[in-house]
Amino acid sequence: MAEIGETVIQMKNVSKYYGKSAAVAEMSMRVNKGDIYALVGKNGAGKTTLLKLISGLTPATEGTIEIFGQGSEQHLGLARRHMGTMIETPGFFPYLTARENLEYYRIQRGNKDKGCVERALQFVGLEGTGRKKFRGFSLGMKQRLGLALAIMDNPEILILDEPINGLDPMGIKDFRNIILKMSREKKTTVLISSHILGELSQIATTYSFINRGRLVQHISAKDLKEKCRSFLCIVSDSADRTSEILKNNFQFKNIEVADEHTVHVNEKVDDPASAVKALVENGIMVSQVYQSGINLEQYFVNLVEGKENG
Amino acid sequence: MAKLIHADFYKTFHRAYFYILAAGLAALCFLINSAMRGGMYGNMSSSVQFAVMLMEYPVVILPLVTQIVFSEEFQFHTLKNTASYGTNRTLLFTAKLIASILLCMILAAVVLAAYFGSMFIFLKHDAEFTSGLLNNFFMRLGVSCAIYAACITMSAFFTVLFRRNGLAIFFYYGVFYLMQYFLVLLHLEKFEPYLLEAQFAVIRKPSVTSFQKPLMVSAVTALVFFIAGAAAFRKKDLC
Repeated sequence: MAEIGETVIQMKNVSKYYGKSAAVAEMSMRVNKGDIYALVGKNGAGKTTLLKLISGLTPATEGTIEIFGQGSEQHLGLARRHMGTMIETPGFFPYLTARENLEYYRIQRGNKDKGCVERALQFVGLEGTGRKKFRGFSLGMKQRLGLALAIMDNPEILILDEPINGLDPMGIKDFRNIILKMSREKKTTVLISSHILGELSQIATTYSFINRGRLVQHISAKDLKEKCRSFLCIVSDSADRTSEILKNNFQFKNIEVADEHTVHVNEKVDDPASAVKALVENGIMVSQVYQSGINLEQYFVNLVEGKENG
Repeated sequence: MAKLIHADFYKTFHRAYFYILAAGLAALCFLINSAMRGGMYGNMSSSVQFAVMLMEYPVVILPLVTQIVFSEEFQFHTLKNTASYGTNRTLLFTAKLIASILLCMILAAVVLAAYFGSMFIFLKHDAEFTSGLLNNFFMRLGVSCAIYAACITMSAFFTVLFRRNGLAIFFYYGVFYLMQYFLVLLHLEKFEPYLLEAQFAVIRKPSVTSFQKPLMVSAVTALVFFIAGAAAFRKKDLC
């Protein structure tokens, strides 16, 4: 339906009010084909509401949503048939088995390929659940079945809201591999929200940080990696001379003078001790040497608290 | 539409509850005719006439079918799977309504089979048990079915409005059985003959020439609750 890099989801000034309180306020965003787009935000930031708006589970109060360039209600409905969703906890009939639950939706969607149910179950590792009813499933199995339904019709877009909640480490790894496999092999666009930022950082290509229903920052994984880089911090009596000595003696190219005493070496330093030794031998008084930097979690906290590093 | 109804049938026929409900109703039919055996009304014509008197009672059971098709979807959060696939909500509401009506018709067929079956087993054939009596019975049953359809629409509306099955059933019974008292309180007695419950009084009358009014009242009630239900469902947050 869409080519790599083409916009598949576009929101323009979308707001959702519950009474006078805005769950999502004037949100504009664009998701491109092939992206693994991560939504990051605190509880109640508006991530789930945003995903519900895109999935058509709740109507927007203001603004427009386009999927595959279609914005009218009728066309949005058709476009959503190319989406697989898993919003909040997976909802299934407790008295049906995994196979029967998927069969119900296969019939409802008019999918003539009866094998899609079995393939989806195999894909998520639930093919052996037999006659066990959904009510007897563990949380992890329920999450897997939710994913099986989302991928059953080979969607072009996968919308996943906190998909790894309740999964054990093996389950999280499997989940990550499934998403990466779909992204690589089928070029599926993935829009994913999660609290587990370390996990997101292993798959996401783009991030949107949301706070209080508003988009705080949109950033590519590459740029974020750059911002979250680690660096060697050297505090001495002269930052300029320190920088000069390090450049001359060690061929460091990415050295930044932060202030008159502080230098940041923004590249890998294999042997910090010899760097310090060289500085001391050149008459530099080194007072502190430490590795610094922030991870995605710290970056998010700083951003939300309005103290973005760098 | 057919796919949505088919899926609801698939789900319902995989549920023991539906079979237990059908078996329970069939057992009740056997019980009624068995109880009539041997008495002064222990013949087939009396049983048919008694069945006409009982036609109001299925109204109590109808929300149970709406519950299987509709309200459990709210309870188990399964509607989001359907709505997020881009299914038109009015179409979905209509399909669920039709599925509920069709499932009630299946239950009605089971009940009729059980009632007439037990009647033939337990009761004596008498001279008044004629084709004319049966024609009259089935005509009244047909009109009752129109009222049942209106009741199902009303039940679906309250289910969409409240999501909680208990509250929806409470309002359904309240509107069906208590509305006449509210009309009296509000000095609007003149509207009482247009209530659904009042239509069963027409059906029970031994000599009726026309069933036009019950049919019209059922159609208008069904239309009003269908429009209100579909409108409420379109705006509902599904999660």
